[in-house]
This record gives sequence, structure tokens and C-alpha cells, in this order.
Amino acid sequence: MKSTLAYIVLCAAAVVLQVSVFSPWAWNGIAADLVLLMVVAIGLARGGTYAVVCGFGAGLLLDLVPPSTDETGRWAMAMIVVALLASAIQPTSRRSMVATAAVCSFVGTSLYALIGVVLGDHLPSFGSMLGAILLGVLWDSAVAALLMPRIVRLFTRLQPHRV
Amino acid sequence: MLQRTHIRLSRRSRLEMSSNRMPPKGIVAALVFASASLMALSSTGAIDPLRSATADFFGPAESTVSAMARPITALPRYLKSKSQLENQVASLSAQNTNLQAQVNRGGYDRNRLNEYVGLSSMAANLGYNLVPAHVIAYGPAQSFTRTVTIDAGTDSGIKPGETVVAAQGLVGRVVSVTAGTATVLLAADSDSYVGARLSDSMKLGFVRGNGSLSGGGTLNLQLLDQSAVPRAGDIVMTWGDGRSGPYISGVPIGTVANVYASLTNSLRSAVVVPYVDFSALDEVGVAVPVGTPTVGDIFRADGKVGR
Repeated sequence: MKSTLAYIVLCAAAVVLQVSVFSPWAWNGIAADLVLLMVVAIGLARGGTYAVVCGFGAGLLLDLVPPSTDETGRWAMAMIVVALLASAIQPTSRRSMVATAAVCSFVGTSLYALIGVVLGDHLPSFGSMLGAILLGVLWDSAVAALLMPRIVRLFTRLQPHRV
Repeated sequence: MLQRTHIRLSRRSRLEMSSNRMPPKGIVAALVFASASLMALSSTGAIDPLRSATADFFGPAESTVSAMARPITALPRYLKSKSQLENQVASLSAQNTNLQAQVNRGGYDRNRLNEYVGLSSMAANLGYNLVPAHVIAYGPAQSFTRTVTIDAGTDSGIKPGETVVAAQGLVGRVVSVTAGTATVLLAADSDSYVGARLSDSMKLGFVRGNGSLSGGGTLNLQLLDQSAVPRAGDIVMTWGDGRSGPYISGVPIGTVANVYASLTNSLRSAVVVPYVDFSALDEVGVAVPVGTPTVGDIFRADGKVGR
């Protein structure tokens, strides 16, 4: 229960940090996706139900919190897949964590864009979309290389000890 | 530190592996369905209350965090604006240099324009064509003749003896010509005698230079009629016909400044302040008879500029 609360607080904090602190650092409008990295970390540390529920919740927050104007549920859907992906991968080293983050970033953002296409969103050309996704992957990999082991360790500590 | 983390992580992973790492399919399906439903609902506006509630809760948090993080978030903008400012400084200083050059040229260009306009009206007043020329060299004072070289010669139809004027008045006369240049003896030279007439009393005399260009150079006027007294402020014009004598008539020379009686020879002479600043000549015109063939543009006696 305590750890669930901690996850909620951390995800909410990640959403706030993402829109208020990371966005101004954006390069060409592309910023590191802190929430996505958070979901990846939960997936790596805890896996399973926790990760999927947290991914859904964090994604939903990202969909609802201003300045988001997209269809609600887009990020939620993408984050569920990210959480599943991260849960499926076994982390062994910092390098593999960064690789996981990169793959999740690519898949998550692509899925988000793809849902937009399905919903008939006005999207830029395929080239610029791919550029944005790859730039996001770069950003996320860089931030993951710095923070991911620490976040994963923190989440692992939050895990209630099993007997 | 990191090593320990990894060890712990892999232990956890093994623990996780032993447990069910992947979530139950039912939960995933439920969440995916929930997301899809939300997407479907969001276009109907049913989500809007939820959205505004979230905004109410997260808006203050966002503004607080962004205010706290301003030193960090302002950094990219600072870096960006710094390079922008550097670019701006560079472009503005280039612009400034450009404008400064224009300003510096401005007075010069305006003066030249005035000279051109003056020469044009001078040509009309005199009834002569004026061949425009630039003063390109001043003769040294050590040669004891005050001459200048102009950049027009026989190619432009200039012949020795022709009168040279500036927009303000008389400059001198041509003493020698080459194909592209001509040497002009300034009226300020001490060997230069110019037939002169007082415009008030029509009295005749001669204007002589004193060889000095300082202060624009002053001239001396001696009247033929020794009993006549020039008045200060009288305007002195040239007198002659330009064919038998070197100077054409009607070119303003200067104004009488003061009159004094010479003690040695009882001649009255007057100091004439010339209209032309002999030390700052630039654009001049050589008076040539109408119809003289020339290569360049010419200020025509009918007030137009052409061949």
C-alpha cells in the first residue's frame, strides 16, 4: 500500500517535472520523456501488474494534465505497451537498461503517433515524425544513461520484501 | 556502488523471474480497453470534467515547480539568447559601420550635389557650356605658383586660357592641357590677374591673388579709376569676353571686404574675399564655347545636363 502511494506520487511528480522542467530544455520541441522513463523503470524494477497499472495511470495523467490537448487515452495506451515491453526485458547492466529505455521510447512514441494517425490527427510528414521520434530516443537514452540505474534501484527498494 | 546495484538488481530480477513477471492478461486487456474507451469518449467531451479537475490539481503544482526550476529551465534560453545576442551584436555593428560610412559620406555627397546644382545654374547664367571636372592634385606651394590639376583635358574639349569656375564662383584659368588633365592657375596665385568689375558702380580693375590659400585665400582689387572707392560689400565679377582675354565675363569672384590706401603709391586697393574656397576645391567646371565637342557629360548653357 505504502509503495503504491509512492508510485502514484512519483508518477505525478514525473508528469509535473516533464511539463515544467524538461519541456523548456526541449531541442526543436523534443524533450526527454521523463514519464516514459519512469514507466520503463517501474517495469524493470517490478514488472507485471504494477508496471502496467502505473503505465496506464501515468499515461492517463499525461493525457489529462495541461498543456495536453490530445485525445485522452493515447499516452495511456502507449504506456501500457511500454510497461509490458520493459517488464519482459531482464535488466542486467546499465547498458541494457539504456537499450531498454531506447527501445521503449521508440515503441512508445511511435505508438502514440500511430494512434494519432488512426484517430485522424493532423500529423507532420513521415520524415519529420521519424526525426522527432529518433530525437526523442536520443534524449531518453541520454537521460536513462544518467538516471535509470538510480531510479530502478529506488523502485527496487520501494518493493515490499517478500518472504 | 553501481556494482552493488547490479548485484541487487539481478537478485531482484531472479526473484521476479521466479514470480510471475508478466501481468495477467485480463488486467492488460482491461487497461487497453479503458484507454480505447477514453479515446472514444474524449471526442464527445465526456472527459472534459476530468480534464479540468486534473488541471485544477496539477496547474498550481506545475506553476510552483516551474517557478522553482526557473534558474535551470532558463539556462537553455539564456544560452540561446546569448548566441542570438551575439549574432545581433555582430549584425548591428555591421549595420552601424555601414550607416556610419553613409553618414560620413553624407556631407560629402550633399556638398557634391550642391556643387553640381550650382555648376548647372552657373552654366545657364554664363551662357557657356561647363565641362565638369574634379580637382585631382594641388600644386606645391614651393613652386610659387598656385595651381591645381583637374581630370579633364583636350579629350573633353578643354583648351588653354579657358575659365574654370566652381558652383560659387571663379576658380582660375587653364594654363596647360594634356589629353586627360589640365592645369589650372588659381585666381589666388600672385601672378594671376583677373579683369574685374564692381557690380555696383561698373568700375573696372584687376584682381590679384597673394599666393596664399590660407583662410581660403584673399584677393586684392585695384581699380583703374584711382579716384573710385570700392565699398565694402560690393560684389566683384569677372570682365572679359573669353576669346581675346583669358576670362569670360560675369563670373562672380568675391565681395569687397575692406579698403585701404597704399602709402607708397597712392593706389587704393581693396581686399576681396573670394566666393570660392581655393583650399577646398573639388568639383569644378571649365567654361567651353557652346558646340565644343566633348566625350563626357556637360552642363549645358540651356540649363540641362547632356552632351
